[in-house]
Amino acid sequence: MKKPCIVFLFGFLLGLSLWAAGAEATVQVKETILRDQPTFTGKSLGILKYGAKVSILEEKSGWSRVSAEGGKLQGWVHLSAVTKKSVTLSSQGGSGTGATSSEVSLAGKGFSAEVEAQYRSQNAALDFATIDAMEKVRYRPDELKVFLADGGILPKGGL
Amino acid sequence: MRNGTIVSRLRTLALAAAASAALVACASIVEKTSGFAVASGLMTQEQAASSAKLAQAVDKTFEDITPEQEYYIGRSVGAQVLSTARPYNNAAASRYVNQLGQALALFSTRPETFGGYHFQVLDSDSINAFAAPGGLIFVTRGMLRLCSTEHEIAAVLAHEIAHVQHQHGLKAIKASRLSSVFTIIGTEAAKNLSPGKLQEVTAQFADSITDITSSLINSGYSQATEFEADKGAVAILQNAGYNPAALMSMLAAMKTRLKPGAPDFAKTHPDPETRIDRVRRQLGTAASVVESPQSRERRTRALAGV
Repeated sequence: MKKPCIVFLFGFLLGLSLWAAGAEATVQVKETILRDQPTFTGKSLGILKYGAKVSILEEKSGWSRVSAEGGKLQGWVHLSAVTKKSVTLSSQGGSGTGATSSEVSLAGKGFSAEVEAQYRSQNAALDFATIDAMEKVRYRPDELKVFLADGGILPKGGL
Repeated sequence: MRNGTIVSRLRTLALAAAASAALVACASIVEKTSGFAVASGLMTQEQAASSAKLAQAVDKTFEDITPEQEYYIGRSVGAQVLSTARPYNNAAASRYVNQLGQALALFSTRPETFGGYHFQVLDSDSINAFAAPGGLIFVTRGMLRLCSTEHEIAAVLAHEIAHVQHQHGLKAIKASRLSSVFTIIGTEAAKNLSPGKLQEVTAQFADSITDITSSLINSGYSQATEFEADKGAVAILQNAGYNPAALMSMLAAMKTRLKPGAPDFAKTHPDPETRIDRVRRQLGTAASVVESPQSRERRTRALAGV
């Protein structure tokens, strides 16, 4: 009686880990860096673009270890950069009807570049040039770490 | 043991069957109600079809807005904020608020948004700061002058980052707008919307931007929302290594400077005293804010023109 019980438990755990490992996710930001450590100062292993599909291998304090590009790349991405909801890029063809609430995140649809352009044509006085200029200002996490350190600011759990 | 497994499997199957039966029942109630309404002349076939569509779309909330859609909403909200005050384009000040703000954003619960966090100083003497959805954050020269330490500037920026993290802007959009937009995009298969649908979605987009800017600039968010942003700010400051008590000292300075009726923070935020009480309760005893000589030196240098 004891043996089958252990076998069953082992099988269950194996199944559970395979199920967790199989979880698919999609990059939901313009781009995110795949890192060798679950930290923003981890070394970059590559850049994952919006809509890139990844498989989640492990989750740890706000980070996911993922396999990307069909297993060619493995590393860590921050949880806020990926979604487990299904994302279909509209360039791959929209799904038409039948989108359920978890699948409705059709990239490029709804409030999109196309709608912004239309809105801008109706509001010509709005200063989108400053918005574009703002978006260009971007510091790397290692530069920000130096900024904090130069001011004598020491993050609680490091950076 | 084997029997037990089978029994539990059967139970799961039974539950699943019961759940599907319930779903089918719900769907048929919608159909039957519409059918009855049509038969009795209360509704046309067309109205019945659109009401069935509404029944599917009605549960859309801000949570269904993707980060990409949030990004486009945020850009237009930001452009509207810029119509209330011109940008103050001083390279040293811009560099400083962006380095400080982007460093703080790494310690929020949502460090990565579609387009990232970006900060802009506004050429205005009023004491104010705004966050557009997705991470475009604005702070006035008046607000920067009010802050007497880098910790206090960090507190202001962390409060705005917390608004982005909690998607407070998106929550101000009326649910009915989202329902109609999601209905359109759910039924349009083509990559580009037809001209008519594009007009329709753009009108909903414009109204959504107004929903947000009227909260942001005129009426303000609810007290509960502001307290939530303060709570989020404390966590961000603590994790980044800034003294969260600076949120209280900034609010105390604000209290002495705000003029009732002025178009600034006083108009859109709860009384600073109430917020200080809340933060104090959250923090318990807090060390007094001490700015390091290096921080003071770089702050005064970067903000010399402000």
